[in-house]
Amino acid sequence: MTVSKEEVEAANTLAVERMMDAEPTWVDVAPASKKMGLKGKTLLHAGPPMVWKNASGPMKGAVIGAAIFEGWAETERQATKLVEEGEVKLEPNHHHNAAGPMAGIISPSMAVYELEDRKFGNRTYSNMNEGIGKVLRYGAYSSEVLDRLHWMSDTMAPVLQATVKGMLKANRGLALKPMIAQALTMGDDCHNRYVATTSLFAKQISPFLVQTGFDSKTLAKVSEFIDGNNFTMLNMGMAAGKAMTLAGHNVKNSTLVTVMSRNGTDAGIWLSSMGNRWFTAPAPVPKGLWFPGFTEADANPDLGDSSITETAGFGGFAMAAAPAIVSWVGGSVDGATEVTEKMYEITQAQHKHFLIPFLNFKGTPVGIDVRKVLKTGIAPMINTGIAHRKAGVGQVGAGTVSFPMKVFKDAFAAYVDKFGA
Amino acid sequence: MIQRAEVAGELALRVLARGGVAKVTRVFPGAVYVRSRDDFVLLLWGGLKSPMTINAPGGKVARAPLGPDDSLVLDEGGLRSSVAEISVRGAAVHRGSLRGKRVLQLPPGRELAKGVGMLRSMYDVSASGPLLVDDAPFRLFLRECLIPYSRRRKSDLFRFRAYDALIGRGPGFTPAGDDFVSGLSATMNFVARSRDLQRIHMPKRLLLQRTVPESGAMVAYSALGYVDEGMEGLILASLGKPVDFHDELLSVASRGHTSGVDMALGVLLCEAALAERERRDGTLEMCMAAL
Repeated sequence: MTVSKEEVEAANTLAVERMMDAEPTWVDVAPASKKMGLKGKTLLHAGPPMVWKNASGPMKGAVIGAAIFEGWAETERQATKLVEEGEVKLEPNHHHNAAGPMAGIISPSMAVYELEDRKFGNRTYSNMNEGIGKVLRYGAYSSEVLDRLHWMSDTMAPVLQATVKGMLKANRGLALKPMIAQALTMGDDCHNRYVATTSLFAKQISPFLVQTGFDSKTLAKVSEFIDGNNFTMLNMGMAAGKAMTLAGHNVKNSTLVTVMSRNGTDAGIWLSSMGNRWFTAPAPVPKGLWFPGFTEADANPDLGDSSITETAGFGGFAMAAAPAIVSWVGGSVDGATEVTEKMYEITQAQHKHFLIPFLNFKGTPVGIDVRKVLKTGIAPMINTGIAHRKAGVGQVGAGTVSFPMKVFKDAFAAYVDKFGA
Repeated sequence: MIQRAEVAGELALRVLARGGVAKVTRVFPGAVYVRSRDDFVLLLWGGLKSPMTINAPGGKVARAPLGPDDSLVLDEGGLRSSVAEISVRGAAVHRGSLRGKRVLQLPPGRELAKGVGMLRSMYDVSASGPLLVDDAPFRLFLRECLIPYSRRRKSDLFRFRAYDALIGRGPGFTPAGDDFVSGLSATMNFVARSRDLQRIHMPKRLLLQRTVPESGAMVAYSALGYVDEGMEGLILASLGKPVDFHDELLSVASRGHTSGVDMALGVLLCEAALAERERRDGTLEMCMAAL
């Protein structure tokens, strides 16, 4: 029994409509142990499942840093031993409806944003963004990095929690879809450029932030931190992307991709109709612009769950909306437009809500169809940060990368095995 | 202006060695067809290697120094027009390996049916107009020629007239019917050479009259075992040991509008018919169900 063209088309239409109809809304920020039920020495990470001995430098650094942050170890050696002996359990974020940038580590004490999909009821999560430079997500774990993480969990998170509670009380939850839609018309791609989104966030929360009852010094510090970090909204944007793609997941017969992610060693995808089965291949090294003093030789293979943004129809797929991004990831404005145009060839629909002014308000390409990827030979293009291959150095550049074709070939072969064609 | 080819196919070199004057018949981005009598040479800037091609460095963005109807003088050293020269001196010779290899085994029915299913999916996302697989003459060919052959019944499979309705069928530079017949005849004759079976004869002169001449020549070359490295990879992988051809299948299928899919379908249905004839295990039926 083989699945018909009409059945696949109907399934893909349903999956992409659900992706577009999802309504992720920020509802809380609190420790992962409370919100996600993370227990014991469990760490969540970006990408497909990984084996510690094959883990990349930045991923290892981030795991070690998180173990020290949690107080499970005091030194790198102790932390490594815990992981090697299997005392620390490593699991992909996506297995917990979460997404985290770069190494994407979420530990039990870390504060996570909780988003609720008001349309389909799913809850998704992401950690909080630390800024750029030496940060845990790039594998750094110096005292400066760990102190910042403690401040974020102990001080910033409670302030933001009180803020969002105030917003909910006033019946003004922070809806992510309209915010992303607006930011795309303001020059963000909502993967590697979150300047407008972060400004919109600051604007929307400010009336509630000032009413949280925290002292003015604390509120000023939190506001300064948000103001100083244009990537503040990256993580919440990713949780929104996760909510959207989760809504399109598990649709029988669908050939649409619902997860694309990398752990610094492997890249992997999920197909809507294939459950939580990973299809993986070695992660490629991005091409891009290098921070002073670094070259491609310093780069780690691609890393992070942030490609959930492209999976949901923004990020690299919306590059035409963000001409200024080429000063960050390289290339030209024409090239950025070309990327978006190409992505229409491999996607199911034009987004109903995410519009690109420069393309006469055409909807962004959404719903990657594995069949179209294979027929056209066009792989999804991702905007990404680039980590140094050694732990602790941090970010060395930003650029673009194409997902490896092997994952799509393998996923499609498995799909044909399951459904006939 | 002299451009130096990196690779030259053995058939292309034979045409050059014959000498004389040739004409440019088609110019595409990164590709130029040149006709010399009833033979065609394909000049490619980058791209796949084949016995009929001459490959120069560059890609689709490379500017071909030739235009439609340009005349070219051929000799062993290359091709010359009034303004440009493509030199093959020092170029590596591409012979293609289909003529030197043997069939190791026919693929399991399940793998072939899976491959056909993959191709069906590729059709679903590539064409808005009528598809070869839904075309009446194609179905008739399967019913009247391929299935009877697979059941060892009387069949016109080895007569040129069996392909009358397929050659030139479909829109485009290489009609879908031509692509299918290319895949089928290349595969059948490759297996036939290995196992001393009857071969399909594709007379080039007739083909050039029945379809787009460049496409007709391609069909004739395929039947003789001269195929590009993509098709060669698919045929060898599917008839090798172990059978593992889905990567090659998807690479071929990604070509053109439906050209690659049609070509690959010819390969798989031919193998299915041969497997059915040899094993009588329902392979062809499984493949037909997946269409």
